[in-house]
Amino acid sequence: MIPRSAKQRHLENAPAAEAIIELRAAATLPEGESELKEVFSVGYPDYPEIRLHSDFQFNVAVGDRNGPLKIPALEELGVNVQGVRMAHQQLPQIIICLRDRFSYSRLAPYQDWDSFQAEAMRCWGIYSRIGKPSNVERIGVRFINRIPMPSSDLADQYFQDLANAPVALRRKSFFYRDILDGPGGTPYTVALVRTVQSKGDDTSILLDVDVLHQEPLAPNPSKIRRHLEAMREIKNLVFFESLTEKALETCQ
Amino acid sequence: MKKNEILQAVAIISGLSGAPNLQATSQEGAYLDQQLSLGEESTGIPAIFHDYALLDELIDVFAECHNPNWDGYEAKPVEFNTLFQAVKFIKAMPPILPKPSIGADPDGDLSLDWHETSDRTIMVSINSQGKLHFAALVGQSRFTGAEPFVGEWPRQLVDLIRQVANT
Repeated sequence: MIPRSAKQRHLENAPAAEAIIELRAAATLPEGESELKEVFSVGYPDYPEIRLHSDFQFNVAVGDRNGPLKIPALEELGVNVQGVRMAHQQLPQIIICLRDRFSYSRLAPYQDWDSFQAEAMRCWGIYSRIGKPSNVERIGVRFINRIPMPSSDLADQYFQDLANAPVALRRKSFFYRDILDGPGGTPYTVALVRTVQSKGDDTSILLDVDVLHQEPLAPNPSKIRRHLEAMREIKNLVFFESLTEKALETCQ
Repeated sequence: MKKNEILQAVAIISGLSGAPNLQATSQEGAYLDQQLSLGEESTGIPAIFHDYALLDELIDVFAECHNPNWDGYEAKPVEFNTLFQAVKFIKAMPPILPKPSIGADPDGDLSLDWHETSDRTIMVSINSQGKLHFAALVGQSRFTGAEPFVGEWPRQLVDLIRQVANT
């Protein structure tokens, strides 16, 4: 039995910047890049923006004490393409179909759980028909929430039970990550991240709730949906218990 | 490539591809995933490896076996894709498992070995597609198997290693 937060309520302005459902399973996808694009463009006609996707994205410039790092181009390394990334023609929805996973993302504005889950499962069904995945090794439900905060406010006024620094010094920033067991002996794990992001004069709190199921199961849609529903309840519990009334009122 | 360049490429890859959270596409998700990765890399060494020696051993093996005929008997070269798959695999290694020895196979796969005695031993190999093959001897019992690696170590494999290591 998954408990429900006393603070849980419908939020008219849900603060989800991104909601993700991911299923990890080994799928048999075409080897060639053109074949990959072809099969997925046919399978997802309403997601026409297709890009090849590799696991390894070099999009951060870093260096070491010897100077800027010379990173070999992916082509030089002969890195395999793992699948495709597709964007919906109108809606803020992204699908990633790889040889070892499927994920569906809904970006802001988030609508509601029923339509979010329904589209994710519809797209998973198409991926299943194409790639015929074996056991689902992992299911994930991740909600990344962003709540703008006036510069005059403190994060403590938005996050429930935010730990104080051990010394009486002003806190400039923080990044807290907790790994939690699911409630009541359920087979779930929760990765909870709380932090603040500042961009120029704008500051927001970020609340990242990631619920994971890490036991293999057959790719049966009914069983997957049951897990997704349970994970949604856990996500809601953690979400509402992590925020103060002040934070929740900004979402109504 | 020089060993230092390989090491740095691996450090970046392991940071970028490693946060166990679901892959995000939003600006907020990218920021969070980058913070998680930077937290791991603040020492300049991927904290996801149990110790630096394991990473060093992996890179050494790759550097030695990256060219064709590296063993003098027409062994296939270990490809970068295989190295990257091995990084992902080791990154996901349960911390309760003991440290393996790293090797390369003539077919170009990278392998992890746990050898306790002549009748308690297990070898796992990983190829460029992320496919695992393992073979174990635990007393009188032999076990073999093949599984795709999709981010989690197969439970059977973890149990076998623990039997071999007697943990």
